Amino acid sequence: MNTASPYDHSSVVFADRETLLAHAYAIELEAAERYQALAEQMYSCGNDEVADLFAKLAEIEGKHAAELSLEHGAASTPMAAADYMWSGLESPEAIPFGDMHYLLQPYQALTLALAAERRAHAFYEAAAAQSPNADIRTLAAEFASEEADHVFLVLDWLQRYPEPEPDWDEDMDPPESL
Amino acid sequence: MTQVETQSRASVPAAITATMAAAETPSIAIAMLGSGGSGVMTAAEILLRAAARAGYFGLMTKTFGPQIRGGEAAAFVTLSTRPVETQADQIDLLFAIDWKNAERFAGELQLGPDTLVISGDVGAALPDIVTGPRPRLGEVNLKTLTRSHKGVRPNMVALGTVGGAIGLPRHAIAELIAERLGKKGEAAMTQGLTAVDLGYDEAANFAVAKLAPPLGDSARWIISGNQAAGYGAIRGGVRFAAAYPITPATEILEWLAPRLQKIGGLLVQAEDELASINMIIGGSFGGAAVLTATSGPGLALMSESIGLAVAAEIPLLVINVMRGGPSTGIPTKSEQSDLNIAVYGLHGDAPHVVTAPNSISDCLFTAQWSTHLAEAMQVPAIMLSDQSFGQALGIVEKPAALAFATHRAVAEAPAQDYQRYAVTASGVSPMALPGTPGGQYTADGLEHSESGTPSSAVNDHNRQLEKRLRKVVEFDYGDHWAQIEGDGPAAIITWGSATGPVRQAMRRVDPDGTRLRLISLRLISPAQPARLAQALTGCGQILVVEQSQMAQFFGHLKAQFDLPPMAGLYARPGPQPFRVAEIAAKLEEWLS
Amino acid sequence: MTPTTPDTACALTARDYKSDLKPVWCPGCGDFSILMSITMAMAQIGRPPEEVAVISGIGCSSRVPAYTNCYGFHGVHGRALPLATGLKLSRPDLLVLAAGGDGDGYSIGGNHFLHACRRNVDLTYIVMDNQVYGMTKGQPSPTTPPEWDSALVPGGTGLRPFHPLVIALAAGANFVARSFSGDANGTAQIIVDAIRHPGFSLIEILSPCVTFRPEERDWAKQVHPAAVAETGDRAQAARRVLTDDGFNTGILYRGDREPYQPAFHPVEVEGADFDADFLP
Repeated sequence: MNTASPYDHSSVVFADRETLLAHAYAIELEAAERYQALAEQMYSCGNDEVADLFAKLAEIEGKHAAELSLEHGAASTPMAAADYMWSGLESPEAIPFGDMHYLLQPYQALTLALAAERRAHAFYEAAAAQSPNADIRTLAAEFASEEADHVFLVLDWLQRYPEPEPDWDEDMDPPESL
Repeated sequence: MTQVETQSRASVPAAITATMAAAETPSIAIAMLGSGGSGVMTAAEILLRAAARAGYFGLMTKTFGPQIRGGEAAAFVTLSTRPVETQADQIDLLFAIDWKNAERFAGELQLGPDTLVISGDVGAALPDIVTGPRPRLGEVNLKTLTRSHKGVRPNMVALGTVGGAIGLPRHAIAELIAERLGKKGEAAMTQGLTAVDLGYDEAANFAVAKLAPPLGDSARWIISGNQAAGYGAIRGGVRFAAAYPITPATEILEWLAPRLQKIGGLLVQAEDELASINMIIGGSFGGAAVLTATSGPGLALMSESIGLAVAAEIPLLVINVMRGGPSTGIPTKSEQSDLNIAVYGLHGDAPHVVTAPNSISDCLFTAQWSTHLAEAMQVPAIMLSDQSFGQALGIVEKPAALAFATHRAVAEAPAQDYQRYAVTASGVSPMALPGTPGGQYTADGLEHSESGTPSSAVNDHNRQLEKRLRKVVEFDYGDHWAQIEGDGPAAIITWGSATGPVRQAMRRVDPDGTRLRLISLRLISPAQPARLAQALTGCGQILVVEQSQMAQFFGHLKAQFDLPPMAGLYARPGPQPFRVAEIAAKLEEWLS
Repeated sequence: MTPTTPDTACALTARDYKSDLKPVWCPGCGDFSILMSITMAMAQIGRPPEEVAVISGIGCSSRVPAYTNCYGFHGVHGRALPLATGLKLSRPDLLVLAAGGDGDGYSIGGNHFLHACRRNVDLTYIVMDNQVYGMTKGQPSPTTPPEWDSALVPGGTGLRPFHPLVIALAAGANFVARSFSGDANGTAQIIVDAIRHPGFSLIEILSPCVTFRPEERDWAKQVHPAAVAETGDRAQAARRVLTDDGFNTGILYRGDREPYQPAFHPVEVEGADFDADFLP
């Protein structure tokens, strides 16, 4: 963990294209895998509506990762974990596992997704602003703009769902013991 | 499996078959008494060893006061021309170096008018327990002798006196003295030999029964039940052990530790029995043949994890050396009262193997066999030895080296869809050992599917329960399930350390060997009802003999076999060992 | 454990260490992140999954072995450490991890915890501390604050919480660290360091229980990296951790004790002849 405030992107600087691509690929792949894992969690506790949303987001992020490979030649082999300069607790576009709740409502799920997309956007924007090389700045800006599209997409989805009631997490049944 | 059984049957140890000779053989029983560093144990052990070298059989047991050092102690040695399985009914010769606190041994010192009591403490008052039975009395003035001969120790004089009195060749003792004291230098050796000579001179004053000339010169071993159990386990392939010290099992561990080290194995002293059982579960999961040794209280602590080993199908051997219970009970005395916890003490339906040796040398056979069973069936085996085997030193026929091929079914090249708990014909599923690519699975105490995935489904529980029971019930245990001797119409069913006294009592009561039959169960669980029924063919009378207040063995037989209602019972608790006269009297009463 | 494969080879990824089994944990549980950190660490270490064994006891977090693609053992409550010890001593070639929760490790398994630290076998012990018994529906554990109210102990235990890090230091652990489940990358790196450091390594990972201790969701805001560097001085480490706020993360102590690993090269039965011991 790098800072007291998670996701401070002030030191995101890329010296070469490969490293930026490796980060971009990891961001998308980890987002895809996280959404998939969250979808599975939600299916396993019967929250199919949110699970379906996460599954859809997983699909989108998965495609994004594949495009990075195809169009930009991003290597699919990860670097050593320590070589990633994540400016937060993990890669920026992954919703933290800790933010889950089994009764999560679509509005809340999309709010979390929105925050994740915004973090990715901010990451690329920082890279675009702070990296010394012009080509890298251009590529980072391109990625930032793609994330901005995702932000708008999620914002659009959000419109379709109501905000949760205050007692959204109430469960009449007690927890089970295993 | 069949092949293994055939191999082993061909080489049943000589000691087991040799004991079938019918009539009782005379023996000489010696007790040596002393306190506070008097050295009676050393003297008695040299006596036993010398007798072994001279071609005799024998048994040495010990009893102590509660002190760790300096307390009163008594050693009992019975010698004979044939194997000795229990101390004689009455002591022929008692040598007391002193009489301090001798009252403690009331009940263990079986004296009679024929007993010769030699007091080495001239002038000291003899305790009532000695004078009561009116034995013959004699004296050896140890104080005078040791004062007039520099460096001469009283226990060595006592040893010489006893050796001389029973007619043991002096050179047998002298040879041992030279070996033991030679290391301490010329002077020490000379003083030791002088002491023995003084004793032999004194012996001329006493008339006691002499040892008959030895029969043959077959190879002999001096071994304790605990050593035999440890060695049997090593022969069975055990290379990793973890344990917590507990009387009377500790000698197994102390014998094993340096020897395992010598053969590249390891014994770890654990922080408690909960740790020791789990350490060996870990070792076995990794592929090693493993054991722990303990006694009742330790077994109680281990029982949860033995259940884990049943569920996760982990082979292991627990040697439980029984002592008086419950709770701390009587750690230094024997009792057959852990049968219930060993057989029925696991939670859930947890099929496993419980075995019991029936003599000191059978501790070796049974430990090796138990290791073989555990590994072959991937199941925990509990071997119930007891203090009277474990801490007794016996001169026995050299046990045969058994050709058991201890073998665990291992998945060396697991298939794509490898299933650790596959339901197989035998119920045993090949086990992938860590390190094997493609064999990864999680061993689990949770009920699981064939792949090992946790499951509470009816079908998985039923199928896994069924296979775990089937693999131990349908296993071919061969002839080793019991020791059967004689074919008389009256059968005595017994087990463990009760076997020796019963066998000797049978010789006394039925010298021709026509009336009685001995069935001593080596496989306590799973029960072998068909085999027992077969063994009882033609029996009109049955008597069960065991050393347990609550008749645990009898209860087990009644629960697991179709025992006829006429079956009688002789059961009593420890700590007093069974005496031949006691059992013989019961047999007479039962037969009449 | 010396890695046999260099980091950069990266022939294996975190995904290669995950099984297909879906965790039974509650959404939001810190253990999801820790599972990910473990698999990330494994990938970085680079030992193939079949050379790794994950050993656990009982509890929510003790379900972890089956969620990895390594060899695993899900044993009885409280006994992961002796089981892992037995495995490592008899199979020094394996990389052995033990994992579990605060109840499993510090309460029912407390004695083994002390002796595992003292014995210093080359194991890495990952404790997912949520300060509660989750699997049995919310009872206080040794690390639960004294005032925490529950059905089993109404009004709270009133007992001082157990301090695993200080106890580990006192008992002889050779590597002591605290981490937070939400910091997946940081935790993964600490696990890597712990595995590479010889001897017994304890990683105490704060892992919120969102079901029985929902207030622990705030841990994400409370944790912070320790302001001072790790030390090799046991006393200094103990003083530091006794006086901190309980939310400092990072490696606290790295010692230089020699691990306990007696030789284990068993020979075949033929080599084990002790007949001579028993000659009269």
